[in-house]
Amino acid sequence: MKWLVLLVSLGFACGTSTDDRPRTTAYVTKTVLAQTCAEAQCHSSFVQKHGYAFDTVDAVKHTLFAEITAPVRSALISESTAPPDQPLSNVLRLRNGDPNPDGIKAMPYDSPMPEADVELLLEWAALGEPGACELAPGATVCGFAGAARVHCGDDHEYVFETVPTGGSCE
Amino acid sequence: MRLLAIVVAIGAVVAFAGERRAQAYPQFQLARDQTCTNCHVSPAGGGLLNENGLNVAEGISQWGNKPEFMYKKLEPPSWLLLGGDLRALAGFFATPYRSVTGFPMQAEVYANAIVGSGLSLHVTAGIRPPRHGSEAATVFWSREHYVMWQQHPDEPTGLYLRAGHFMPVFGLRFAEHEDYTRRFGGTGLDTEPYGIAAEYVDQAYEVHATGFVRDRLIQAASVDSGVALYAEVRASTDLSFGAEAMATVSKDDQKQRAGLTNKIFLPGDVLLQTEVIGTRVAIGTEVVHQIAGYVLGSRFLTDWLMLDLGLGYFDENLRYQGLDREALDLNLHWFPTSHVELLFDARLELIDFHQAVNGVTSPVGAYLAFQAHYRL
Repeated sequence: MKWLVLLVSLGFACGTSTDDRPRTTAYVTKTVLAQTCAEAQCHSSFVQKHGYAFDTVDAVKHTLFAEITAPVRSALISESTAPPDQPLSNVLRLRNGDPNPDGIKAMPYDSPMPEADVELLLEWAALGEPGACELAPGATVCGFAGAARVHCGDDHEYVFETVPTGGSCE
Repeated sequence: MRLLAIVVAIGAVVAFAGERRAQAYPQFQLARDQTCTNCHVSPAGGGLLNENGLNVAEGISQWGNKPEFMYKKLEPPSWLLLGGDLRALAGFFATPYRSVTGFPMQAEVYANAIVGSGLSLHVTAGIRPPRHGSEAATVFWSREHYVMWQQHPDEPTGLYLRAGHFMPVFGLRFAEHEDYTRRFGGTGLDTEPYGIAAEYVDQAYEVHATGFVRDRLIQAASVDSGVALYAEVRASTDLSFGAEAMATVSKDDQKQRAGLTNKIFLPGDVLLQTEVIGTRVAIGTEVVHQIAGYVLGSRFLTDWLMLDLGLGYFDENLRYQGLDREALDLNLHWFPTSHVELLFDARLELIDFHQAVNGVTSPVGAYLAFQAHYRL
């Protein structure tokens, strides 16, 4: 019972509601995709359900560039700046009764996903294809969702930085 | 007729290919015996049963029949132990999308051959979910294959040395791989690496140390290499405490895990098991702290009916709100015969105790499922 009280207390007491987690492929892969989508029997390198693997950074990049065809990738990523009408959002937020002309299968399949992680994935995806950052070295611009700064990361990927409340994106 | 049923069952499972797997029951430790090795051949528990384990299988079944492999119709030579498990599941899932589905979980056979004094070779082989694009080549695999030296071959205690492909002993090793301390605690489904282990089991305590490297022979479910330690002390026949630690490294991250376990057998034939694991994940310069916990209460309602009530907690990042999940599990196990188990599983899963974070509430998940398990 003491453990239960401790666990409940942790759940209510810990953490900040300001989500400034890095929108990098490495971070998103290891903290969200690998744990939520890449159990062995699903989108792991072991099974690669439907050709997708999300358990390592290399697997994610391979999935995005080799397994997902360009038009689908474009739909999943490049056009994903307009939720909730884009496919990735549909996959993660599909509910019974929603229009589903393409027969999309709701994901994750086995458990609910924190809405904050859904938002993180959509923002990461909206920043562009991993490895495709085209900003000039050192350049920083205002980016997705308004109060954000974007620059190129070490892996030449878009890095998203949340601007603190009251701050200016510029 | 029974043999025909077995053949049909194997064929059906083979045809659909396994997707999930469950293992042994740590609920039996303390509740039925002191150590895993009192009933199992492996020092980790699970898989093949020894003579005492077969007797327990018969003793907890409603209509006990011959518990031996193939009802003793097929008797292997004394140096060879054979066994196997078939499992399938069907149910209603609302996680949160509502659907009715079913799938095979496990179709595996076990063989343990004594090849010398205290020396044995163990193989677990069967069906796995095939890899996309290489289905024919990957439908069969060997989840476990290792050489083991046992100090006292005719006793369940003493020193064990293992080398090969197996899961490092780490924590309580709950049977259901969806339990948070397994799923998020470094011992997920089908993530067996190659390793070497030195393990000592006594009735009063046990220690397991494993060094392991990722399986480079296949595209494995885990890419981690590292070391794992687990020690458990049984203060009495009704009480045990354990400590665990694991450090791993992969191309993408480094993880350090540390945890505690406890088992207490309470009056009223109730076994309470608790495990808490804290994890530090370093991804480049970013560091994430996680915690996973699971409390499982089990009670034999009759000799052949076991009820589990479990509470799980996992926070993927302690720094932020809205990323923790909670699970309430209810499992009812019925053992009608020495070889058959029917199981009702129910789970309710919340995100952040269903609180709103920044005005948004995450969905609730739940499922009701029936699982059938046949032990060869």
